[in-house]
Amino acid sequence: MADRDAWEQPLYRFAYLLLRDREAARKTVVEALETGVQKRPPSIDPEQLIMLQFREVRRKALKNQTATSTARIAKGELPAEAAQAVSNAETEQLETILHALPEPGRSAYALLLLDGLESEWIAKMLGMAPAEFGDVVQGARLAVQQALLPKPETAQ
Amino acid sequence: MNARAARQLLRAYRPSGEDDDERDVAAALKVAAKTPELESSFRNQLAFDRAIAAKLETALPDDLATSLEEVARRLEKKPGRKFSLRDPAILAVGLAFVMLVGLIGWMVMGSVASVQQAVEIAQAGDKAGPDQFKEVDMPAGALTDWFVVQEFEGFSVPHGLESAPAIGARVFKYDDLPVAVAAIGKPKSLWYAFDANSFGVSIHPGEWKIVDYGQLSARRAVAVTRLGDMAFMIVLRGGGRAELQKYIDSLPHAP
Repeated sequence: MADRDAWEQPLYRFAYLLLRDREAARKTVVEALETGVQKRPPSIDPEQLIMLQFREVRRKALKNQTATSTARIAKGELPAEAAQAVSNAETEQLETILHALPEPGRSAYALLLLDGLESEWIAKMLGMAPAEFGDVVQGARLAVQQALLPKPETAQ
Repeated sequence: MNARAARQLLRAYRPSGEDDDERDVAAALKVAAKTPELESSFRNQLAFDRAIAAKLETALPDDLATSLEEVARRLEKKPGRKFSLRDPAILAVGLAFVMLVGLIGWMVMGSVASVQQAVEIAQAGDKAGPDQFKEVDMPAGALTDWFVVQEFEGFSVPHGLESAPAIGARVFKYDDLPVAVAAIGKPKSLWYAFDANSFGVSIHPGEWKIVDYGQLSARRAVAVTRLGDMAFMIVLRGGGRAELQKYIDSLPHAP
């Protein structure tokens, strides 16, 4: 089992983050992989082959969503205590926050975190230049950090 | 590499550290190590990303992991075709390559006809009625994912046109190849994107070519440019060559 990178697991986790439905994620990934088996070119770079599976899963997931955002990308730097807020958060809360991010920042940041593809391939998959990709990831990162901030209590 | 470029690159740093051996990443890490402010913000980012990544890496149920692995292995291990000069497919590829080289030479020499098919696409697109467009309400620059969902990859707009309001969009086939069209509210126009090579559009990126078409009574013009592998074309509604030229001249130059 340890003779290969189990890239299909990040692929499933990516599908789950986009869909937030385990059965739909499983179905989407299996369909994408089965289609890949049928249409696989005889000779293809392994990284590209894997990238195509992520792209297909994303395409299928976006098909039922209107996730494209016109929101401006947040800019700035993370505060020093940002990581502590993550430690205090539940996994499900993080998944919900990531799921709610606007595209393409959601896909860009999720793929980076899930470590299924090299940064260069993620940027290629999303059709972004490296500089734009960095900005989009940072915008998503800041949005997650903001979402983790404690909500001010409403006045009684 | 300067600190600004290093910061930009490290924003897309993989928290697993798998990219550390990449030349650019290694250079950016060196710059960060010498720039206290950058190193500090990078450390915060890394701690943040690693904390999230660790929480997301929950184990998959065994049966799910096994079934996904089984399909993934089949995908990975499909045998490739062995290279043999006697293989008819290899011969065909060789022949196609020779023809392609000839075709490219012919196209370079005959660049006058470089946007002829773009004009034909515009003429085909002119025949579409409003009911053939799906209604959208977003800036043209945000249409990329919308078109991906419609199975058209690579739609983008030139620098400076991202915020133009798109009110409709569709994908149609011309010569069996997909063409993406966005209906823009202001200026009232149709914006097309299609594979430049497949349609023989040989223009340098950043260069615009304006061509008239149509009968005298309904004279129109197209402006075509190239964005990477894609051709991008504008057809103004209710305007001819002069108006189109004026509009193109008003666009900012790419940085």
